[in-house]
Amino acid sequence: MSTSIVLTVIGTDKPGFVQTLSSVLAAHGASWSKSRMASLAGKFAGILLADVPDDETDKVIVALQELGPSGLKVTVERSAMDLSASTYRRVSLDVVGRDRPNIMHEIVRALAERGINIVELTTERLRSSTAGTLFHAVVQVGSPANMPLDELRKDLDALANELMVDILLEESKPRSVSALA
Amino acid sequence: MSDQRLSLETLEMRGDFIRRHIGPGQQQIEEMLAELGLSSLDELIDKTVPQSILSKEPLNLPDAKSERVTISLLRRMRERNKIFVSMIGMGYYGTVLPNVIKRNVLENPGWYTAYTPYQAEVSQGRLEVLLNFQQVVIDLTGMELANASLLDEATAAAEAMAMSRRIAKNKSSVFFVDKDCHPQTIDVVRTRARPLDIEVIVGDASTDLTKQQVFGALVQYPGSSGEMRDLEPLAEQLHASDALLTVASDLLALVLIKPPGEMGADIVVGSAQRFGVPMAYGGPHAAFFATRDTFKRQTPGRIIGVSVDSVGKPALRMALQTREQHIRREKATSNICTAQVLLAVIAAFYAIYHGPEGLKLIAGRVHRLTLILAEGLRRLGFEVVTQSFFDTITVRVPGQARRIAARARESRINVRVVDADHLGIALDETTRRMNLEALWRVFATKAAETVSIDGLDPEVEECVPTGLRRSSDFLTHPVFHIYHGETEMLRYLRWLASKDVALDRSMIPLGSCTMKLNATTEMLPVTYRQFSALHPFAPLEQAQGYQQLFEELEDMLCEITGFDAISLQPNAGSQGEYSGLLTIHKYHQTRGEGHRDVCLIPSSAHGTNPASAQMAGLKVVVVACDNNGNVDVEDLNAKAADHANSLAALMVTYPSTHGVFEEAIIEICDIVHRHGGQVYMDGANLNALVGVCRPADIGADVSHINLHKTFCIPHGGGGPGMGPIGVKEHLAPFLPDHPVVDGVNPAAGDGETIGAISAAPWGSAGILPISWSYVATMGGPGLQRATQIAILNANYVSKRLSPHYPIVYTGKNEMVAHECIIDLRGLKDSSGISVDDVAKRLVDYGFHAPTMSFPVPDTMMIEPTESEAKRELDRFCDAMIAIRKEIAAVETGAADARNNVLCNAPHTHHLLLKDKWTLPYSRQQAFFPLPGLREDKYWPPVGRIDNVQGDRQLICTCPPLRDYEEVA
Repeated sequence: MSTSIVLTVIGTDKPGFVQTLSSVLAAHGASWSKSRMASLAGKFAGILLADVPDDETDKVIVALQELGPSGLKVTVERSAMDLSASTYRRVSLDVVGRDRPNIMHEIVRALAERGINIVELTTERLRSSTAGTLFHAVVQVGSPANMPLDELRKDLDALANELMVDILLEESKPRSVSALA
Repeated sequence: MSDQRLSLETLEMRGDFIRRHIGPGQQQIEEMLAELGLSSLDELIDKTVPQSILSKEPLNLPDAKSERVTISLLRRMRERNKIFVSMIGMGYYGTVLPNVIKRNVLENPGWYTAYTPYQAEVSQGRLEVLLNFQQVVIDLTGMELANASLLDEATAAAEAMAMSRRIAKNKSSVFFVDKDCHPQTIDVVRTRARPLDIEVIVGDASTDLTKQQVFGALVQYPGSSGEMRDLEPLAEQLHASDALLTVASDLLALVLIKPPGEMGADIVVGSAQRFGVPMAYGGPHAAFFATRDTFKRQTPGRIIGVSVDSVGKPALRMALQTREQHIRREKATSNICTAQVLLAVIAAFYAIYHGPEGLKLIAGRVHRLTLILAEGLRRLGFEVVTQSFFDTITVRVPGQARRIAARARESRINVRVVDADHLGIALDETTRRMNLEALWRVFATKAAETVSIDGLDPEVEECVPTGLRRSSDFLTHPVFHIYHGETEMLRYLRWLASKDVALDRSMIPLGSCTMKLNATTEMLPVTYRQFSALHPFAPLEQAQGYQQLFEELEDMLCEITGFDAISLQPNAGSQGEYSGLLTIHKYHQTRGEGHRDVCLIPSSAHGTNPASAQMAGLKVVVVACDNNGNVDVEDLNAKAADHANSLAALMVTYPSTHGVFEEAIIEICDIVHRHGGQVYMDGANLNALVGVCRPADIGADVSHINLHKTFCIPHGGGGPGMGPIGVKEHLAPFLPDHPVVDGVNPAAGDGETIGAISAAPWGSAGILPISWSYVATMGGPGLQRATQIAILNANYVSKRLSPHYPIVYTGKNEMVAHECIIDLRGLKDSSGISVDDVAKRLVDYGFHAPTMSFPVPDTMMIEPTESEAKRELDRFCDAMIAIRKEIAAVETGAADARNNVLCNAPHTHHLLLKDKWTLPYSRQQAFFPLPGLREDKYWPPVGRIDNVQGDRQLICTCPPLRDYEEVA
C-alpha cells in the first residue's frame, strides 16, 4: 500500500532545483503524481502530491526536510481526502477586472461567503492597450453540488456587477492562464 | 527671371498635392536618409522590404491631379447624383444639420481628426459630448443605460440578439423577429445568427410569437410600415417565458410617443441619423444601444462613465468593458469597440442645440404634416392602412404602387414601393408644405380642388392612442437648455474642442492606427449636398455619381492591393474582418467543405481578429510567434497539418503587428493553401505596402482595407471608419449583397452570398470621396513615395530613440517597417516608472501617447506616418528623450520614487493655482520641460484619471453641473 503526501517547497530559483526534489522522491520509490510550481520574483515555489510506499513514508519525510541546508525549504503533510466529486462540482471561473488594491481579497471573500471552495488559483497582471493594468485570475472552485449551475451563474453575475469585474464560468477543464496574455 | 527655364508641366504643378500630403521636404528627407546611412529612398526599401515580395511594376493608376482638378472632377460627379425629396423612410430620413454644428464640428479638424478617447485626459471634450449622447438616448428611450454608439441600426439589432442569447434564461435557440422591422435589419440579423447557430423566425409578433419558445424577440416601434403598437403585452409575454424584448426605435418619434423603457423593453436600439446627420447614401451614422442597468457588463461597445481625477475633480473616461475583444480575444462577445463617435457627437449637439422644446416642435411638425397627408389621401379616396403612426404611413393602392411611385419620381419625390399594392410614405424634418401638395397631385391630378393643408390642419385628429403618447419629461439636464443661442453654441463647441488633442495640434504617433493627414480637399465633398442628402435606397439612376465613385474607387483599390473584387459594404475594420471570414466560410461550404472551421491566428494578432473569428463561427487555434515577433513557421506547419481537414483560414497581419516585414510571409501563405485553408490578411498595416508590394501578390485571398488608416478617412475621435474587403476572383461571388438594393454584388449571379453585413448597401458611402480624392491627388508614384516616407519616418524615429530606449523588433538590416516598438519593460524594474506614467507625462509635452502595451506588454508602438515633417518628429523624439532623462533621475534617486514629474503627470493648471507650490521639482520642470512649450502649451483639463473609482459605481449620465463647479 502507499500513502499520499503533499509537499510545499520554496527556495531561491536556480538550475537543478526540481531535480534535487525528484531524486529524493525517486530514491524512496515515491511517484510524483501532481504538482504546480512556478518561479516568482527570483524564488521557486511549488506544491506537490506524491505517492510513497507505506514503509518509506517516514524516511522520505526526513530526507526531504534534510534538504533545508541546501536552500530548499520543504514541508510535508499526509494528504487529507480529496473533495469528493459527489458533494462538490468543479467549475472554472475566469475573472478579469481593472487592477486595484484588494481585488483578490474581494473576490476570495465573496466566493467564501457563497460557500464556494477554491481548489486552485492562478493570477496575473495584464497590460492592456486600451484599459491600463488588468487583473486576471483563473479560479478552479468546488461549488456545492446541490447549487444549480444557473443559480451559481446568476450569483456570480451579481458579484461581477458588485466588483465591476467580468467572470466567465465554465464547467470544462481548466484553461491555461497565458492564453490571455 | 531665373536662368533655368522650367517646363510648362512643372509650372502647372500637377502633382503638387504629393508634397502637401507628405510632411518632410526633400532636404529633410536627405537629412533623415543620411542619419540612417542611406543614399536614397530606393535603398531604404531594398534594405527593409523582402526582395521576394517587391512589386515589379509600378501602380497602374491615373497621374496625380491637382487639388483644383480633383475638386472639379468631384463636382462633375456630384452632378450625376439627383437629389429628390426622400419619403422612403426605412431608417433614413432627411434632417437639417444646424450650420453652426456643420462648420464647427463636421468640418472642423479639431473634431474629426481626433482618435478614440483611450487617453481620457486629452479627450475630455468629446467624452463630455458622448456622455450627453448617452443622456439623450437614455432619456428618449426611457432606459437606464446607453452606450456611446454602434455602427448602424441593423448591426445594433444583431448585437442585441447576441446579448439576449447570453442573458436570457430561456435556453431556446430561436430569435423571433417581427416582420414589420426594416428589411435590412432582418437580413443583417439573419447573417449574424447563422454562424452562432441561432434560428431566426420572422413573423407577426402579435400572433405568431405564442407558438414559439424563444430567447428573445425584436420588434420595430414605430414599425417599418409606420404602425405602432403597445409593447407592454409583448414584454410581459416574453418575460413570462424568461426571454428578452429588443425594440428598434426612432429618436425623433420618441419625443412624442411612449418610450419602450416604460413598456418593459430590455434593449432598445436604433439610429441617431435623423438628429442632424446627413443620410449620405447610407452612412456614416451612429446607432444607439440602451438597456437595463443590470446588463451593463454585457453591453456591446463602450460606455462613457464619470470618474474623478488625481485631485478629486470629476473626469470622464470609457468604462471598462472586460468583454471587449482587446481583453477577451476569442472569448469576446463582440468585435466592436467605439464606433461612429463623430456622428454620435453631432447627434448630441443637435439635441443640445434644439433642447427638448425645439425637438418637440420638430417632431410635432413632422407628425402634424403626416396626419394632414394621411387625411388628405383619405379624402382623395385612398386607403391609409396605418392606424397609429408618427411620420410614416402605408397606403393601399391595388396594382398601382409602381405606377404611382413612378409618377412621384416625375415630381422629384421618392416613395417606398412596399409591394405591388402598397406604398410607404415617410416624412421628416425637411418635409415642406409644397412636398405634401405635390404628393397629393401625384395621387390625384386635381387634388388641389379637394384638399388643402390649411383646411385640413384644424380638422385632423391625433391618431396615437392616449396610452402610447409620451408623458414623461426628457432632456431636463441644464446642458440641453443653455446653448440655444448660436453665440453660446459656438463657444461651447470651441471650448470642448480645445480640451482635446487632435491632429490639428500635434502628431498622434499611434502605432497600427496610421494617424496621417486628412486633407481639406479630401474632406470638402463630404458635405456637398449631392453626396450628403441622398437616401441609400434611392433608385440607382439617381445615384450615378455615387455609382461612378464606387466603381472608380474599387478599381483603384484593386490595383493597389492586387485583388479582383472589392466589397464596400463593411463599415468598420472589424466588420471587414467578419465579412471576410464569412466569405471564406461560404466558399468552403459551396465546395462541400463546410466543416472547415479552424482559424489559425498568430499570438501577436490584434484582439479583434480572434473576436471576429469567434463571431464567424470559427474555432481559434493560436500559432506561436518567435522571439522576433514573427510567426513561428514550424509551429504554423504543425498546426496546419494537425487541422488539415478542418483548416478554414489563417489571419495574418502584414507587416506584422510588431512592425516588421516578415521574410517568411510567402512561405506562410503557401503552408495555409497547401492545407486547404484561405489566407486572410489584416490590412491594418497596409500603409507600409501601398505602391511597394500587394497583398494579393504575396498570397492573401482576402484582406480588409482600413480606409480610415491608409486612405485618409479621419478617425473622427473614434469613428467613422470603413473596412471594405478585397478578394480574389474565386471568393467574389460570396461577397455581401443587400435585401433592398439589387446589384450590390455583381459577381453573385444567382448564387448564395453571405447576405448583408451592414444596414447600407455600400457601407458609409458618404466618406468614400475622401479616399477617392487621396488616390486621385497622389497618383501611383505619389502613393509609393508616401509609403517610402512612412517607412523612412519610422526608421528615423527608431534611430533617434534607440540610444535611449531599446527597439523591441527589427527586420533585416535592423530596419523597422512603418512603425517601431520601444521597450519600457526594464524601466519598471529600474525606476518603478510605468508605460502609463510615460504616456501621461507626454501630455505635459503636448503629445498624445503612442499605442501602449500592444502587441507587447510595457512597450510603446510609434507610427509617425508620412505626413509628419522631420521638425515634428524631432519635437516628439526630444520629448521622449527628455522623459528618459526624467526617468534616469528616478533611477539614480535624484528624484523621488513616487513624488516625481512622471507619477504626478499630467500637470494641470489647477496645480498652478494652488497658493503654495509643494512639489519637489520646479514649476518650470512640471509645465515647461522643453523651451518650445513656452510658445505653445497644451493644458490638460484634468489630472490623471482614477479608473477604478469610476468602475466601482458606473455613472453614465450627465452629472449635475454643480459637481463640476464645486471642486473647480
